[in-house]
Formats: sequence, C-alpha cells, structure tokens
Amino acid sequence: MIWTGLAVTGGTLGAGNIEGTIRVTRRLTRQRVTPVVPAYHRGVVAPAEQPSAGWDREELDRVAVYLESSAELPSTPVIAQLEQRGRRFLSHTLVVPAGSTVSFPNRDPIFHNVFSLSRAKSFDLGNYRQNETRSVVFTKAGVVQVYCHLHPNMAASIVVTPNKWAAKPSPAGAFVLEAVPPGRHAVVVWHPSAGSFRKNVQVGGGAVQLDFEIPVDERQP
Amino acid sequence: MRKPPFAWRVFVLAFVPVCGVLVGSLTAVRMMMADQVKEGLRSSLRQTHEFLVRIRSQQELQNTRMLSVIAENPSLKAGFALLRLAGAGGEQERRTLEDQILEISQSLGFDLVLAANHDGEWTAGVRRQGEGWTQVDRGNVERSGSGLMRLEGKTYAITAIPVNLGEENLGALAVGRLFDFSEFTTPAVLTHNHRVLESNVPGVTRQEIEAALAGCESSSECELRLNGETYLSLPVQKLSLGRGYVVRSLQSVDAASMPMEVVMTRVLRLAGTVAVLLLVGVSVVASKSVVRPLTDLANRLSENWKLGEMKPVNILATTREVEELARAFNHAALALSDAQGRLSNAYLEFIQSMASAIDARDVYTAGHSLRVSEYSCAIGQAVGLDEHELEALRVGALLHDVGKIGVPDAVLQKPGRLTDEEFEIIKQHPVIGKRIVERVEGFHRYLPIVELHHESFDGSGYPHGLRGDEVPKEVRIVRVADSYDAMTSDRPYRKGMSHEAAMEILRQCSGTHFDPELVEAFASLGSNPVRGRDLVSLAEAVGTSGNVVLPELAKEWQQ
Repeated sequence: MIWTGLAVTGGTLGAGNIEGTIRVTRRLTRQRVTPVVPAYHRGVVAPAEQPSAGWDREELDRVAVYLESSAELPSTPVIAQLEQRGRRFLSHTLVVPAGSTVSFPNRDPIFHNVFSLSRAKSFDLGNYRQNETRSVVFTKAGVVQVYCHLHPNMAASIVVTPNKWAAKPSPAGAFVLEAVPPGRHAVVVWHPSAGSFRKNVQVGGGAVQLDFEIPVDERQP
Repeated sequence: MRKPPFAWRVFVLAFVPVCGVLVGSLTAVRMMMADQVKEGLRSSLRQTHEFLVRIRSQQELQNTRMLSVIAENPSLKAGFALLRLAGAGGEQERRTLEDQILEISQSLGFDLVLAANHDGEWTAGVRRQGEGWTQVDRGNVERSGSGLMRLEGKTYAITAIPVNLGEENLGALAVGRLFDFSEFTTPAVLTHNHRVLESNVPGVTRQEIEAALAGCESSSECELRLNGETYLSLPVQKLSLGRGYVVRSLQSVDAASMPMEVVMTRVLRLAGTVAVLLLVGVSVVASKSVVRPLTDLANRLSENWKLGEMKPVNILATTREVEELARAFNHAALALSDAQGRLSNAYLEFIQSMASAIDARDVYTAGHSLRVSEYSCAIGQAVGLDEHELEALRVGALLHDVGKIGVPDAVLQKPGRLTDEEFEIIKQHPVIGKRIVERVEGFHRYLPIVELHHESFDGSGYPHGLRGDEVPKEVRIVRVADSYDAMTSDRPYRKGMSHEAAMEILRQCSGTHFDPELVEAFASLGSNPVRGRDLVSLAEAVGTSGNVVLPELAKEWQQ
C-alpha cells in the first residue's frame, strides 16, 4: 500500500480530490459439482479453471466508483454510447450521471435488441439492424442491467450516478474524483457480482486517499 | 473294335442310374442345406434390422425431446420471429438466426443444426467441420423433413420439429448426426437412388459395391458378389430414411455356410464313397449273377467247339431264358450233329473207298492198308496216344499208300524183283500220295503219314532222308506197322514170314530203319498184335452204315 502522504494544505473547507486504488481479490468459492453442459457431449473436456493473466484487469473494468452524499450535488448529464459489437456490449459497465443519454449502436452484421427490466429504468428498444442506433435517457440514479433478447449471453450494466463525481478505475486500479465539494460523503465502489462497497470520507481541503479491496467470485467460463 | 462284354452292359445299366440318383439326391440335400443357411442368414439379418430400427427410433425420440426443449428457447424463438416478420430476403435476420444456431450448436452434441422458415425452406444451418463449425450452403440442402440428408458429401440423420409461437408456426428446427454404421453389427451399405453413399464393408470400394448392387431391386432381397464372396443383402425395412434412401445390411453366405459346408463335404465324401463302393459291389454281383448262366453256357459251348463236337449241353440253368437258350442250342446241336454224322459217314466211305482202291490196284497187297491201320492203332495205344491222335493214325494209316494210284500197273503188279528204275518209280509213291491228299480239304493232318512213311530212323529212307524226331511219331508207327505187314503177308513170289521172323528183322533194323521204342512197343503186343480186337476194330473201321468193301477185305485178311 502506497501512502502518498496526506497533503494538508492550508485551505480550509476547500474542495478536494478523492484518490484511491481498488484491488480485486479472488474470493474462495465452493467447488462446482455439476459439470458444464459441453462436457456431456462427445467427451469434450471443459477447460481447466485457471485464472487468466488479465483477470483482475477485466474485473476492474466492471467496477464503477461514485460519490454518494446527503447533500444535493450537481449532476452534469452526458451523451454516452454503449456499442454492441461481437455479440457483446462494449463495455461491461458504463458509468453516467443521472440525466444522461445513452445510445446503443449495433455494430454487428446481425440484429440486436436492447432491453432492461431494472427498477432504475426499464425499456425495450426492440430489434434493430447493423449501424442502427437507439438511445435512452437515464434520469434516475441506480444500476440498470441491460440485455439483448436475441443473445442471452449479452449483458451490460449502466451505473447511473446521482452526481457527476463518478469514474471507472484505471487498469491499474487507480481512481480520482476531482474537486469534490467539502463535506461528509461516501465513496461507493460497485461491482456487478461483488456488490457495493462503501467508505465514508470527510472532504475538507486536500486530497483524500481511499483504498478498496473487492473480493470477487471467479466467473464461470 | 471289340464289342463290350455283356457283363459290362449289365454293370453300366445297374451302376449308372443308381449313381445318378445318388448324385442327384446328394445334390438336392446340399441345395437344401444351402437354402437352410440362407434362411438362417435372412432371419439373423432381420433381427439385426429390428434391433437397428429400435435403436434408431429411440434416438429419434431422444432427439425430438431435446429439440423440443431447444425450440422453447425464447431467444431462438425471437430469432425465428424476427425472420418470420422479415419475410423473404431478410438477410440480416437470417444471419441473426444462423448466429443463434451456431451458438446453440456448440453446446449440443450434434453434427448439423438447421433452421427452416415457416415455408419449410431451410434458411440457416451450421455443421461441424473438424474442430469448429461452418455455415451450411443453403443451396445444397435438400428440402425434406426427418430422415437422411445428404450434405457436402456427408450423410446426416435428421430429426426435425416445428417451432411454434402460440398457434403460429415460425419455422422448424432440425438437428442431425453424421450417419455411420457404428450400430451395425454386420456389413452395411447406404444407397440413395442406387448410388452408394456409405459402406462399412471392409476392403471394397463404393464403386465395386455399386456395380455389384446394379442388378438388385432397391427394396428386395438380393445376392451379390464382392471380392469373390457371395453376400446376402437385405434392405432394412421400417426405417424411415426419406425418399430414395435404402440401407442394406449384408451377410457373407460363404462365411456362414463354410462350417456346414465343411461338415457336409466330409459327410458327403464319406457317404458317397461308401455308396459308390457298395454300388460297385452290388453292380458287380448283379452283373455276375445275370451273366454267369450265360457264361457257363458259353463255356460249355466253346468246350464243345474246341472238341469239334456238337453234343447237347446240360439245359439245367438258373434262369428261364438261359434254359431256353440251351434248349434252342441243343436243338441246333442235334440237327448239326446229325448233319455232321452224315458228313463223317460220307467221309468215312470216301476214305474206305480210297483205301480199297489202293488195295485193288495191287492185288497182292490186298487188305494191307487195313492191316497197317490196325497194327498202327495197336502200337499207338501201346505208346499212349490219345483218342484224337489214334483217330488220325487210323485214317492216315488207311491212306498211307494212296500214292500207289499214280504208280503204273506194270511196275506195281510186276511179279518178281523190280529193277532199280522200277524201284525208283515205286519210291515216288509217297510224293504222289502227298500231292493227292494235299488237295483234299480236311486231310492235311494225314499228310505226314502219306508223305513220310518210308523215312527211316537213321535218315536212310526216302523221299527226304529225314531222321529220328524229324519224322512225327505216328509216321514212325506206320513205318513199323507197314514193314511188319509187308514181311508177314504172302506174296505171289514168296510166302509171308512168321511173326517171330518178322519181329527178328524189325529188331535187327531197330535204330536204323525203325524207332527202337516203337519196335519194343510192338513186340510187347505179342504174336497176334490185333487179336481179340479184330472184329471190334473192323466194326469201327466199317462204321455203322453197312459197308460193302471193307467187310470183304476184313474177311480176306482174316483168312
């Protein structure tokens, strides 16, 4: 753990950065007793479970970091894109502040569909062809799980944050929430399977350092 | 060419038909056995077929169950619905469905997954290729339901079910497994419209099978030859494979009949050999028993023939026909011997007249021929000649001086001593006699006596000067008898010698003129060599028919 030092600047009650690192760890999981389906057929052996080299980086890509506060903090809506390419949503997790518009362009030569049944926003954009796009405005903060009706394996999460202080960690796991208004807040780290991890923080001049460790179940291949 | 003996004919007639029947029945047994083998094969093939059909329908059921689960996959249904809405020409919709199928297929154990639109047209499909999967070229896909499907050189067994959304039909989904013969315990062939698609017959190419199957009806039993082996081929019935597809299983008839064949061959060889041997034996016995009476008869007849007699044979025979034959022969023999008797009488008369003609020429030697004949017969008997030789001797002796016919009376009847010239003429009589007798048929056996009866034992005789054994024995006998009679007979110019004196002279000349053995034999007969037999001999000489000349001669001689 690197402590960059608590830079206590002279300014009191000034906005400050919240910086930190997120480490993804592997949680011990139960042994799986049921073989995967292909193992039944033609003696195909399921690939042995071994962590891939970029495992934690991939998991970090699913992580969203955002600020929760009892105070009313401003939100600046953005226009974002969640592409459908190669029968996947790019990327797994999209972080947008409330009020943002997200478009879902279809980059595959086949039809896709986008729908959600989440409480924060439920919608169904129907089936549409390559290079067509349809968009949705997310007004309410929350996690919206997005699926494709045609391709059950396709899934993405859109984390609609209540304010504009939101980020995805860098591949190394570092994040910065810049110029957070002073006061008492909570930093939430969210992961689709691991859930939310919350840490309270007092911002009042100077940078605040927060480190998270997220135990993640290994995903099934 | 020699004619085959009767026994052969009987043998062949007995042997050949029974042999034919034997061969025929053995062949029939063999054919029945072959039929039996084929029937066995047929039923074993049918059993295999039933087993196969059961397996296949179970597979089909399993596939259908699995398919109906897959077909309820909402995503897939959505894909079908997408296609349904797009109608024809929705390429992206089609690709979407194809993509879905590809994804599904990877987790299923099938080799082919196909999707049809609601018109029943296969619109999307993927098939296993090596490790991965490839799209199916729709142009090659046959439009058919369940059964077999031929795709890119491979045969798939297809199971299809419809995909419905509520009441509405969206299309159909089908899965296929590569068709192979792994379930077949026997060699099998898959044909489609007479083309061989698959076969698991080892060591035979499809072309060869196709050629062999060319004569077969597609849905009936058939026999074909592969690699020099005969196979029985039966199409699998009740296996719904689709139009034109026929699966035939094969069984080698040769392999199946081999053990039985071996046993049969052994049995037939043994039974055949025994039967043929038995048959040969029976035929031989039969032919012998048929032929024996005939052979017996023939032997008796030929014995008669050898003896030159025609006496009746014993008509007691084992069969009626042979008895008839013997009886007929006896009739003929009787007639013949009758004729022969008459002939021999005539012949005898002829000889007698010859002999008396000779004696008549030379009155001084009247009865000479008859006496010489008698003496000769006596000597012949003494030295053990047989009946035939005695007969020849008797007649020959009668004729021995026949040549004197050719001697002029002046010489022959000259009283007193002959001059040398006259004696030379006399010496010609054996040669003249030879010339006479030579021309008479049947008299050749008497020639030596006529020609050589003046040959001496030491070779000093005439006409050839032969000696010892060069002169036949009967001639030597006549030589002795002739000389004895000449000496003991009275001549106009001298009285005949006494027996003793004549014997003395014979003894003196024994070894020079006469054969000593014969002289001795003659001597042993005593002073009257033909006494006691005279009348009998005369009677014999005269024969049964009354003869005018000979009795007179005999009387004359007895006086």
